[in-house]
Amino acid sequence: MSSPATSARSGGINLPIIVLGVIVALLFLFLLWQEISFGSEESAELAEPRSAEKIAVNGGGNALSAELDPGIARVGELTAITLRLENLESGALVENVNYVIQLQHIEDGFIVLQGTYLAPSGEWTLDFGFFDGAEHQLTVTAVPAEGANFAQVTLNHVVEVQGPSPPLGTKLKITFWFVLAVFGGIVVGFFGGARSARPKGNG
Amino acid sequence: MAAGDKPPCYSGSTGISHNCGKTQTRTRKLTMNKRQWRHLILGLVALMLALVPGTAFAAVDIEFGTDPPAEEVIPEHGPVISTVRVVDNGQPVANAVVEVSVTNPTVSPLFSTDMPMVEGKPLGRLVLAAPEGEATFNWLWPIRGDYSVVITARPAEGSTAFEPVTKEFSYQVSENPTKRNNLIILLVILIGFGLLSGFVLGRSSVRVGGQA
Repeated sequence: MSSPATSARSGGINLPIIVLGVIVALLFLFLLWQEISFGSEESAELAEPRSAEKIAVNGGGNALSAELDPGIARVGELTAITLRLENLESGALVENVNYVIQLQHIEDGFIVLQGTYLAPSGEWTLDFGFFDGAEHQLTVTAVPAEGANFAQVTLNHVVEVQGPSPPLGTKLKITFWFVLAVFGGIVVGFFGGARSARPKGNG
Repeated sequence: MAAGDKPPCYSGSTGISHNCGKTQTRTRKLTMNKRQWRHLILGLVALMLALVPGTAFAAVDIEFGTDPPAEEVIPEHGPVISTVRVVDNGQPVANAVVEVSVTNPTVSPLFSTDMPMVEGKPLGRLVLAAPEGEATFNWLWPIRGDYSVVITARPAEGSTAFEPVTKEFSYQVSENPTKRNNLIILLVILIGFGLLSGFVLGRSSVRVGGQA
């Protein structure tokens, strides 16, 4: 014959497990619903072809251009940013150019990339992997380097960045750790509560 | 074996030579001498090439560092000034071009970062002119972990001062302390919530059991 405490323990253990099981099942269902409802929408958006985009600004008889390939950047992929300063009359590249570049996250305001980069040939390419799916402000100023003489030109462009959501596996992994933390607490708390509620001298 | 035929000369598995006459030994010595001569001539040619100006290749090295140093860098805070130096015996090599290729860290499969989509993916690739042997690039290191920085230094167009050299660096960035603290706070809240709920459930289950 089992004592009241023993029966309580055996009956009580099931209760938090059932509650937690329901919570976990609801969480996983929520994740799956999100994946199904938004996943197809997102994959259709990501499947759209992205071509290169060229932006140009004229100034002082020269044309400063920035070519982005692809034109719409994507998190986890490299985007080639090619800068050129060409003479409007001859179409030839202007030599010895210093490109002063700044790439700023518009929403949060932090600067992602900055600096002055020398292009002896007048052309400079940077392959950059954006890490946040948000708009970035690209500002480029062409300044004459040593031995060159031309009026500086500035170009501004908003770079659109697509940010695909993490795969289901990553979401499940994070959910697992958080559920484990709650579950660990429940288990410890349950035994603590059961022990404190048990009448003294009852074993 | 016919009379007058010379017996074969060979080395057995024991390493002992059999039937090797004096003539054979002399030929071997002559071959060795030829080799030595060849090595000597090649050595002299290499020495002459090294002494003639314009043909000597400097043994250059690549140095990479950041400001602030790696241990003080916080992910998503910056930009951080990264400097590449092409040096020969500690002195900067003029007219160099450096090609920098950076790959994001691959974090543990159990604990991902808050940017799982960029883990293990390339962060950037850029070619920098280093007329004075030094080039800088300023960008933000987005996540914690061990970045792979591959740098190739080559002479600028028209220069043959040195042979291209490639070096790989490992760049370790620690987790953002604010994010780490936020995670600890969240875990404490979750565990606390679990403890409280478990405690209430434990007490009520004993009471229910006692009443039954």
